[in-house]
Amino acid sequence: MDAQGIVHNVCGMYCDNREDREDLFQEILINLWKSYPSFRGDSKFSTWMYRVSLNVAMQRLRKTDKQKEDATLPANFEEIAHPQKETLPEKELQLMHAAINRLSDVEKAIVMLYLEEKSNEEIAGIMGISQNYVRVKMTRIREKLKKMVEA
Amino acid sequence: MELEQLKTVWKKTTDYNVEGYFVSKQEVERLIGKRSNTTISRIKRKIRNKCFMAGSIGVLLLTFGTYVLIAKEPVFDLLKPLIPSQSNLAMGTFYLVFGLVVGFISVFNAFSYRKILNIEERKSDLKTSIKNILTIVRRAIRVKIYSDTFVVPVTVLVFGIIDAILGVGIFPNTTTLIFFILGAVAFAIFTYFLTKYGQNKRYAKQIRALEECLKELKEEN
Repeated sequence: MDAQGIVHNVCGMYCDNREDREDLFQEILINLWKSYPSFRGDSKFSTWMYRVSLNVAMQRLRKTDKQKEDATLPANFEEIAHPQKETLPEKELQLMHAAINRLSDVEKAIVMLYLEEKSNEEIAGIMGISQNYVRVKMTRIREKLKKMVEA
Repeated sequence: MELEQLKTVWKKTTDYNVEGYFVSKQEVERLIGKRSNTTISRIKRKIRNKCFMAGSIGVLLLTFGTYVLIAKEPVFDLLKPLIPSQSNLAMGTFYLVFGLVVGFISVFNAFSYRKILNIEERKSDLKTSIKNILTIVRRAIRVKIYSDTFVVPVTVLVFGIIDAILGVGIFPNTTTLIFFILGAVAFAIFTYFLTKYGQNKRYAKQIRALEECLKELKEEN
């Protein structure tokens, strides 16, 4: 997955409207840019990117309704956010977001890394938890999602 | 939706995004040129601004104080309407000491800023990063509360000391001095609670959310 894809996926995971996604995308870019000199190559570049991106996603200030009204979008945002391409089935996307939105921020991060087919070792390294705990969390997330379907 | 179903939709979304969502080099350059609005960036900006403001005022006061001290003739004095006919030595010393107090606030903020940078530079996993962010936010709150609370009492104290040593005439009698001290203490108590309330309103939600994340990541122990 290329760099922009990683950033975009993190934004998609943590924001459910395009304004927030655009803001978070920009924040992550700024922070990646500022943090890049400290990247020493002791982990994979994608791992480092996930760390920085997730870090920004978790510490971002949730905007108030007033701030959302005041937020200005770049002129070409429509182009960025809605490229002229075949759209995904709306129902599938809605289901995915409904499922994701019921998860906590930490669970979202773990699920995203799992969906990106990262190994338990990599997930543990990014999150700062043990591999065993990654497995425990995954089991809990599975149960949570199952309960959602049953409900 | 089960995890495997989620994976299928996720893959489709990802492919769609990667192909359809491409931000050009120019756009990336434009975006990274903007100001960051993360909690830490905001805190850093505030401390940096305070440091710069207090530093500039401190340097101005020190320069003016030195000028008043070395001047042979009586010079224009900002406090003249309040405390007339004071010697250059008294007023110069007053400005110098006041400049040092303001300078101390600037150094205090600069020190905190440096500490925040040190914490921030420790690039690590998410759990450690959240711990670091919490440390930074709590430190920033403390810095803000203490520097706002103590600036008035310290100023009054400095006035009192200078007055006692040089007889500037700010406090003509003990009653006035006591009145000022009580006023300063009352103001400090009011400022303490007001700043605490303001900081709490600004960061409490954020701190709670981060503590919640940390708690979730610590669950294994």
